[in-house]
Amino acid sequence: MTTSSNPLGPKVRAGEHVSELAEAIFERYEARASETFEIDGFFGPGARPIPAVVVRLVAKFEEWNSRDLAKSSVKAIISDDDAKKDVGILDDLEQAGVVWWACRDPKNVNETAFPSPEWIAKTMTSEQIATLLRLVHAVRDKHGPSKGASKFTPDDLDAWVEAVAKLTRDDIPERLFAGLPFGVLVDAIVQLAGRCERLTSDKETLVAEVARQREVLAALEPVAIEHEQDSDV
Amino acid sequence: MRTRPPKPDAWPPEKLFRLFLRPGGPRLALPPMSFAPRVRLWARGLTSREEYAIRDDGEEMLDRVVAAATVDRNGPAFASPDHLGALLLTDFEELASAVTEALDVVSPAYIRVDVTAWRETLTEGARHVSNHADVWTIGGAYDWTGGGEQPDRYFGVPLCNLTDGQLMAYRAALSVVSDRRKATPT
Repeated sequence: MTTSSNPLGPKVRAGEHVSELAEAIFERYEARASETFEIDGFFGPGARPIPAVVVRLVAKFEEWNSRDLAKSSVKAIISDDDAKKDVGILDDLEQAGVVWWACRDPKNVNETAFPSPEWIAKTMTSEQIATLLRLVHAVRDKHGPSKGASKFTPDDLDAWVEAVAKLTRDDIPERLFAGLPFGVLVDAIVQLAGRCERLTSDKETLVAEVARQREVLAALEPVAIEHEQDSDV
Repeated sequence: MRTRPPKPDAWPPEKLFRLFLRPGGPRLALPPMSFAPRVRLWARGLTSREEYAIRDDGEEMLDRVVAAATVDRNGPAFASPDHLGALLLTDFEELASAVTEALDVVSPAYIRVDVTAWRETLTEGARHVSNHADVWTIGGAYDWTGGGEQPDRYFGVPLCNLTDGQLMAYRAALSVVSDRRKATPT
């Protein structure tokens, strides 16, 4: 299937101002990086083997298109309103869209390697989609700016905890965390979970110690009363 | 990547104060982008109205923030968020990271920042000798007879088009003038 060569899709109107930056972006879009990978166990329509794919960098409008397609697919196939809001289903379908846009036919990179996002979602196993998605991420990591994404140090994390705690009286605007890579946020949650676990463990130790001291006090109380009575006599 | 939440200590206070008094509104130069090294870009401060409009739209918030805040020498670098469409995701990450880092300095919002810390830093900046002329000009445009704040008179734009950072700097300047007036009774 041939995909649109218009990088802006139908959204940009004719005659609309295009800045110097936008022009630079269009040039780069045309010459975007790609890598060829051999893949095993993948078949196209009619059980045609697909031994290799060219995986190229994904553009913003392709990501938006994947999301739009995912939403319309969910609306079309699911009637339950709650299920329509199921982030998991949407994410799976969106990932199928990203894979579809990124994977190209090695014989002609203007053609996608697979017929459609819906076809990917219906015919491929989760493992196959995950395999292709890993290739998409590999290309992104190799050519992207966030190579070796950093983590929060414990001091950084303290600063974020302090900032969030100060803002809890208001609704916390999501933009406080905007721009932070997903991996870094996951790492922060893992670090915080570790802290919670240690604090819970410390609290349990303290509660046990308090209970033990109370038992000692309870045992000593009759002795103390007896001693006091002896002193009075 | 931003590793710390926005705080006003990234810049010298006097320079930070001046950033918000810039004619045409506060903006901060972005480092050259690897995908467009010859294009000079800035991140401009967003008004509360713009921030809330972006939040009201809900989806693709970061895309909208980047599209709204990025400017080149001729004005908005993206005529609409749709113009981000051709940006490769890797390049978007680079731009979004630079823009959000710049916005932490150039676009403090009352709802999002430690207001006390920003007030203290901007007041310190307003006290600096290099900013005396601006501070007294702001004081001169204030109605001390009880009319209250009129930052639009100083900045020359409607109140709704002022960023929270401009309002913070304006109030910091007024507090400095007010302190001096109390210290030197007529």
